[in-house]
Amino acid sequence: MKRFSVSEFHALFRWRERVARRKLLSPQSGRGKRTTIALLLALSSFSALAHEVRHAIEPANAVSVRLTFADGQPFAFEAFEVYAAGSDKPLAVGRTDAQGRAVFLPPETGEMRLRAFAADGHGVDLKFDPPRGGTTAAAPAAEDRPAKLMFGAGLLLALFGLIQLFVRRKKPL
Amino acid sequence: MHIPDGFLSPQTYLPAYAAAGLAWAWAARGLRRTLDEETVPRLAAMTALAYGLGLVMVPIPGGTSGHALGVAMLALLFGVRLAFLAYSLVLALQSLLFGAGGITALAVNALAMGLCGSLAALLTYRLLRRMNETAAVAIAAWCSVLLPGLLVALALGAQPSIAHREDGTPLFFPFGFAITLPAVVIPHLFIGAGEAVLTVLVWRFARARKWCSA
Repeated sequence: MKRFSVSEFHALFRWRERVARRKLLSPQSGRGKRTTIALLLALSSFSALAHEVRHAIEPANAVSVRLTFADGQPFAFEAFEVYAAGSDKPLAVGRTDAQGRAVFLPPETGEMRLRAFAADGHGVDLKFDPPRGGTTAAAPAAEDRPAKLMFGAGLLLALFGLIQLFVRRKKPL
Repeated sequence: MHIPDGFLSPQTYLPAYAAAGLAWAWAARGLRRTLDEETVPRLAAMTALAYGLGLVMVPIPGGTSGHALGVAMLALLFGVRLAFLAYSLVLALQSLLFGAGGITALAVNALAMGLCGSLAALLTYRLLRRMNETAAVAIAAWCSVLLPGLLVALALGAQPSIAHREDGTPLFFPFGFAITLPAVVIPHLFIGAGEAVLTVLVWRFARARKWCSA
């Protein structure tokens, strides 16, 4: 069904007046007026439909990825983009919520990529296989930050200990 | 301030790796001559401190978090070359173990924080030490945070211009200079103040033990 724009309505009016002037349809004729008004009302109802945004509330299995800073502070209200693996066209873009969650619907198959950015350069770029069909992803192992910190410090000290074996000795005074 | 993986385009990080490679080679020259049995344990302790400091997140006004760098104390105690090498090692460990900073971005992070941070600290200190030594150390530490912050903001803000699709959509980091400069630099004004206090404390401790090279 053709939908008329405002400019098309104006064109329609001009056409009608041209026709009336040619005496094909008298503007003074009551029947002609009624027909024209009815036609315009019918057309305007189609035009109104074109501007209406409808909604449908449906259950869906969304994926929620929670992002936090290292101190547990939520990565809140920051921009994120979601891609199907191998695609550079985003499936969804949005902002994390107050608790730092990026929520989106995953594609039916395949890995996904989530990129989240804060303007100050914090963020993530991660690939993952999202849980589908109402399943829950296996909880990631709790990050043992103190152990990692100690491991890193141990590595550093071991490296410097190794260097110490090869550095020159100071001459005794 | 650590730039993660996926935020920088190859047009940025590949030349940065080339530049960092040259800088690492320069810094490693004469290493055997610089290091001795007394310097190595001190350097080890200060590097471990910088590594730990970089992982302690402190909330900053504006809803973000920040951390000290520790690069100023390395530069003031051991000079730019050793500070750059040690801080590059710190960044590599933080990246590999904690994902704090990316491997692809390591060169940019090392050049900004390790090299430029050290240079900023040492030059500022040498310029100001005749007026007041403690103030010189504090301002040097503040500059050692602010300059890398500025460079990181510039590197991030340049990404939309460097790498984008035909329709202009950025392929890597999406925010331009107008957003990254205030977002990175303003919090680092506060972080720099914390770094200054910390560096002055370490400096006094080290000076009392005659560790200083600057």
